[in-house]
Amino acid sequence: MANKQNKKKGQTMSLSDFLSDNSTGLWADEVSDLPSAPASTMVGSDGARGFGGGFQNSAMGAGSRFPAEPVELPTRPPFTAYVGNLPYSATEGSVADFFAPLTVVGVRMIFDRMNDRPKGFCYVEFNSVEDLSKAIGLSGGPLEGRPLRINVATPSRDGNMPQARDSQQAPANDHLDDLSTWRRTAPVGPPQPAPSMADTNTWRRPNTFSEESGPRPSEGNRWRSREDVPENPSTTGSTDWRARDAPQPVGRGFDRQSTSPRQVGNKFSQADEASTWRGRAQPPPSTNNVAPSTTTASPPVRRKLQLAPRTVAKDKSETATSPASAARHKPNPFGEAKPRDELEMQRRVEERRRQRANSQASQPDDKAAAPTTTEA
Amino acid sequence: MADPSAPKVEGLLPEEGTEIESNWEEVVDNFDAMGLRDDLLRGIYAYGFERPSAIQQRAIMPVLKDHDVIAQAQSGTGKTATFSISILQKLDMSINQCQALVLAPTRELAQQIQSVVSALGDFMNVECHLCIGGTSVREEMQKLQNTGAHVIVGTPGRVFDMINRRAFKTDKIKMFVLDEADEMLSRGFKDQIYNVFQMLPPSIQVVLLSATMPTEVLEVTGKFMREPIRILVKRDELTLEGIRQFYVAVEKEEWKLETLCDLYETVAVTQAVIFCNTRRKVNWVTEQLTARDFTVSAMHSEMEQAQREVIMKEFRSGSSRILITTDLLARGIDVQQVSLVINYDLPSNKENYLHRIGRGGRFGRKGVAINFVTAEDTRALREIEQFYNTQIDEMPMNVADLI
Repeated sequence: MANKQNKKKGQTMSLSDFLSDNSTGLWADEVSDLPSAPASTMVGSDGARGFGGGFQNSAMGAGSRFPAEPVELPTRPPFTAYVGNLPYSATEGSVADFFAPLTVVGVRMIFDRMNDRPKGFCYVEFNSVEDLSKAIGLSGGPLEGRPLRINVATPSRDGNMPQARDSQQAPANDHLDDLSTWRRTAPVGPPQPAPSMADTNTWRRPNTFSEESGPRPSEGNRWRSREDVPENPSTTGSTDWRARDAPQPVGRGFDRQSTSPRQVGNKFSQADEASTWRGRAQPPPSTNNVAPSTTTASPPVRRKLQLAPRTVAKDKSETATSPASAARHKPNPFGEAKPRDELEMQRRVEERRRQRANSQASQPDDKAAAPTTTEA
Repeated sequence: MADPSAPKVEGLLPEEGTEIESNWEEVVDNFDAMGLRDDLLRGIYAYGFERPSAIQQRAIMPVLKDHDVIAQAQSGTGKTATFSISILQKLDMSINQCQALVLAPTRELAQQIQSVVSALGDFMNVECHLCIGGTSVREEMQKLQNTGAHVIVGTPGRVFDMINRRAFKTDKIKMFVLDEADEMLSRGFKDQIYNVFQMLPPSIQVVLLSATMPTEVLEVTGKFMREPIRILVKRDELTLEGIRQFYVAVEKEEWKLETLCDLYETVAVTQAVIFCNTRRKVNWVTEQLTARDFTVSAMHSEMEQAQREVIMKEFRSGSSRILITTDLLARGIDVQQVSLVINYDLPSNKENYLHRIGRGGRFGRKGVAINFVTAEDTRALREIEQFYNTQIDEMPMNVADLI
């Protein structure tokens, strides 16, 4: 899907110029934001989201400076501060200690996903807006000799605050959730631009249409796909359900429900102690074909996967389960339908089309075989 | 069974942990008995379909009877054909104007849907237009104006743009289909779908399909669906028996690459999709493997559209066998020779786990999913296992025999 619009801001030009410009042959579907420049800013017209744009830039590692001017304090939780210019040696503990008298709810260090190195900033969530405000007052204070840059964490472009801890978040599109219906209330006239969400009080579509209205440049900046959301985990708080906190205490029920009829050779309860996943010296329980990735205690080097060579011939048409065995556990979702060779079927369709095109070319008058209104 | 005319959304929503029931009982286990037009039936059989799958047996009829429908079914069990057949049956071929609009989350999936609709409608001479980004707007507008289209399949951004530019009229559109509906109604797309809704006739019939239908999505359907027929699958029945799921305890992120190299010989006998969580990582893994003389191809959304099309074509035809990608290709993509999916990274949401592993094991073929699990991933893996009530075992040595 669309992902390039932010990089293709380009110059501003009128739509008619644009359409008559033959030099722009291929371009991405973000075309709708070409006539309007500020596509890369955050959802600008919506007051509730109107924080500065600094967070994304820094979070994406673009190296831009964080905005110097203070950002307005949030009115409701989470009260999260961005803390930048951290020494790489900083830990959650040392950051919490830095803010010592204040009530720190959580610290989230941001790591580079590729190499697991700290990125030099973190988010700190405070219990109250007062503590957040005091924390910002500490900006410039040194941690291990580096002056920290502390500011209110700005929301990501979908309006969510970066989270300093895992927590449930309200979905971003609350305004759509508040609507009673998404359907139009009026019949479709000539195509009209949708009312911009930001500049209408009512979601209902007006009944009167103006023939003149064309594309709305101001709407370009909504054409972002989810892939445009920066990959930094801090901006995608609620979609990320993985544990990012310190490792949780283990040992609470890794076992599968013992009612599972298929429970054979289940090693999962051992896997509970994550650090010892490879550290088991005993042979695998019920099967002797488990890859010996589970041997001696925590190896400093990786053990090569030991894989047995293939012993059965590859049978392309082989299906996974007989309908009978599938039916034992779950309803069979395939019914009596059979797998088919999709590639071959598509090839045949194309073949038929080619033949039809040929026969039509040779007998332009013969329409009886394929009466149609669409083919010229 | 719930009363289909129940007006309250709350009443339609299953409580966590309770059984989800469908409110449509009719099952038609034969295409001939569906009352389809002859030229469509011909297309169905010529396309190699013989008997309808479970979802096709249940969902085609309520759509033909003009109901709004929410249809959930396991990956690779024929959802695309379900709505394609329904759309084609309902077209009025004497009107050369768009009558059905299908939206999908990715260009690749939209392209795939378009080819299925065109193939099934081959004998009806249906015009199914593909409306996706990354292509020339001007050419597309010209094509729409010249040939017209009965069905438009596309991605939300370009479709909205085309409507806005009046490249096609919407007043005759009677069906609106959201494939991968939970994705389409998630944060990234919700606004766009709302905007498209504003362009469509108020009476429009809405059809949603996906293998995953989280409760939040069912909730939002109350905004635009009218007494929908729901054909839902219980969560613990969503994983397919034919797809074996394993984990490899790689312990450290840095060890994943070597682990993948160890697996390469085993993997290379089949077609495989390897999922990473970021585009950057896709590039990095691809570079590393290529540097070690492993043959792999890569695809993600930052690539030029033309390049995306080439890579997809090569992978579909089997000329490339190992594809490293992001969640861009997690949903819907149907390459039937894929029998192995590797999660180099565990996905960042539970839904996409199911969609990813569903790229293998298409339509009852066997499939294997291998999850690389670092120490920190342990909990997430356990959550997946519990969520779908499925079993993810440590990968056995003889995994080659299972692929």
